[in-house]
Amino acid sequence: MRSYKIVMVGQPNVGKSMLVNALSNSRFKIGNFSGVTVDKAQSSTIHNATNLCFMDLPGTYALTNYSQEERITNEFINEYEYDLILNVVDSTNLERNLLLTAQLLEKNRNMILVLNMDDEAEKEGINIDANLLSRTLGVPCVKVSSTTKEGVTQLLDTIIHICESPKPTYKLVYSNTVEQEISKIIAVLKNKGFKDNLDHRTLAIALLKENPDVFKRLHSHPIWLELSQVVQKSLEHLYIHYNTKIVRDIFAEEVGAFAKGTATGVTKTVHGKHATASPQSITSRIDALLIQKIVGLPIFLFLMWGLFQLTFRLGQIPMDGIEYVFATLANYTKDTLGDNQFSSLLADGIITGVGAVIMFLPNILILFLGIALLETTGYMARVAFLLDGFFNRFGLHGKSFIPLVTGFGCSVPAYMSARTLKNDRDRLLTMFIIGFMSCGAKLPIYVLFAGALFGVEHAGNALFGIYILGVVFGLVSAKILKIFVFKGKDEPFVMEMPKYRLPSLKLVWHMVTLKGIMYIKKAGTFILLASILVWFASNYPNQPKLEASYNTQIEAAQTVEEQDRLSQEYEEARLSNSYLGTLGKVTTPLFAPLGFDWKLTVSIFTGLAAKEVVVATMGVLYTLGSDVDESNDKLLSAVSENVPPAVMVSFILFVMIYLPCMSAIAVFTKEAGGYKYVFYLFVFTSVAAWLVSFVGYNLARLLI
Amino acid sequence: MITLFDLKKGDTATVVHIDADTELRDRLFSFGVRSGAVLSVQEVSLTRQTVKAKVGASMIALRGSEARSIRVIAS
Repeated sequence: MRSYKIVMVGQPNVGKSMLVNALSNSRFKIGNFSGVTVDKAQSSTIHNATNLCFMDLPGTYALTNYSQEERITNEFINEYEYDLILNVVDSTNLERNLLLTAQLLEKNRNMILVLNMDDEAEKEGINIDANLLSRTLGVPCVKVSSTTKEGVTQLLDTIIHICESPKPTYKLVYSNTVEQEISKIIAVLKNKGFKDNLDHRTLAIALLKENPDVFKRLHSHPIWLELSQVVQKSLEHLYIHYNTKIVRDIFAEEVGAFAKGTATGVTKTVHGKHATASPQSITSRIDALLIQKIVGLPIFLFLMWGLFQLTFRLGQIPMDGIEYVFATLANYTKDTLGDNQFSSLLADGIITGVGAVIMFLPNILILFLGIALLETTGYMARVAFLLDGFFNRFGLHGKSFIPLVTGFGCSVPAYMSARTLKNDRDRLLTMFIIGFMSCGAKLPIYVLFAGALFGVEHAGNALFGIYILGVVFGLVSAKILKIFVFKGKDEPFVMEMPKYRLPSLKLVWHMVTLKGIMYIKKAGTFILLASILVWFASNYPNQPKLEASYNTQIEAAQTVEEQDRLSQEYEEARLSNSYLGTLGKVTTPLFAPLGFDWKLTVSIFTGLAAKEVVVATMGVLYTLGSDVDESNDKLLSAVSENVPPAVMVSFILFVMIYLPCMSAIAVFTKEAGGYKYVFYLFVFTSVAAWLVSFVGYNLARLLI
Repeated sequence: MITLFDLKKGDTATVVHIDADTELRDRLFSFGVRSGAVLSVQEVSLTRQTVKAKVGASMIALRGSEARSIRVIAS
């Protein structure tokens, strides 16, 4: 079967990912904020017995090399093998989109221009003459709407047709002034019969653009003597005509004029009854409220507060049920299999551990639903607008908000979304404090301790407070790091404010279920293994002597209470001599100033595997041997009984700041670009966590 | 000479010159902000740290310091 590779290139927010969805029915994460599609994503489809493979490149405004997205896109277009460039443009914003198209035309590859969001353009009274545009650019132009799937079949037909056509030479026509100089240089090259792998026109333009590579190559050639004089003269003409000596500006001006001329020529705008209801004017009206200087910020804070309240209160309802189911399952397992090592592994290790993870799935789904809505509606960019003034004071960028708020969900995508920050310093700084934004996996720990400290009815407020406190610590750390470590010039803050869009239910559903599945997968594999490991470490080595001695004592005991007390004592003795207990005890001196006992110390260690395991560990450590029939709130009451309030405060603070989980560290390493940064992160977070907990612990002891 | 930063909400102006390094100039250009472009200010944040402006069919947000580098004549 024939097979073609197609790269999709377009500016951010033109509905590129949505178009791939429409073309191939495959799933892509798409959002409304610049650069959500950070990595190239692939999907394929079969049309007319031809295999079409689509490569979705990150959205980019220009083919310059400032941001990582731009670098990735540029590199791919120049260096990789593919059959066709599918340039996706937003029909409602043709002129700006054509600036990128102009740069793509210079690549001389097979290309199709997709006029996406045609339905929206019609609503705004914009009518583009696709045929005229095709003739102007020399590139086939197809009108498509990804939402209504109109024009999709025609586009697929055109793709196959163009892939099978010979490689064209597109001509980006400049103004007469520039064209004249180009032809003068071409004349010299032609007269001298100059041969090169680049054609004469491309060479002439490169010379006028002062391309250093071309200059270097031609410099050693005999033709240079004559050529350099002509180029020199041509440039001088251009300098005079454009009243500037910066060639870059001259060509920018040219491309700008080309885009404007083309867009105006092919667009018919009808001002009519639709004008007030167009997405553009609706956006302006919503913005008049949402980014208003006085009410904008309170509205944002209210939305955030509401999200956390929902996460907790709504999430509480299924939580109780899930906890009950797992407790019943654990009991049933023990009843059926009898009291032996295998049933203990199943019930105390696996079921309890995984149950503790699944229990928090509702909270995580609600939080991610909120974040998905922020992303897909376009509100995220407004938040960056509202917050940049504030963030900038701490050395951060308005765009830092996106990775930081994603950090509330999970640090892994947060580290990845930090790529929207193109300045390396800004990006690293943001990445260093992402950990302060407590991720979804830390939520169970906070829920547990906030419930134990403040009671379930106040836990929502306490939770909000904990998150805010993390943010405050993060900002202070950012300022400190900015002053001492990441010194230097700020990244320019120029950002598109996309139009508001109603979130597509399918898309939001997909984003949320994906997160849910990822969480459950983590629970099913990593956390399951960690649970078994924790169970093993807490049950072994076997201590037959201890067991025998307690068994005799228990048998000899007179009352049931005495028996219970003894078996409880036995469990504690056994646990504290286990591998896990030993590890905890050896390292406890380090954590003693923070008030941690060995059980909490061990939980901190297992939290490095995944933060969800902290609660699972405590589930095993604090409830082993206690009455298993008591299902609901078992862990909560066990923690309340065993951990003093000041230590809870200290523990919350430590968890808030210390190293993220292993998978997050792995992503951090990749994104930061080196192991040395992991070392810095380790030192930074450990020292900060210890100091803050120490202060918090002692303050809490004074106050409580 | 006034800059974009000096404009009030609702003002419209034409860009005369952009006084910035190549990076910022390229970035502004890719959004259609170049000499001759018409900008209108849609919103200014409380402390004038950020400005939201409309240029062509796009809406962009810039920082006050960047807005200062765009020289305009009010229209």
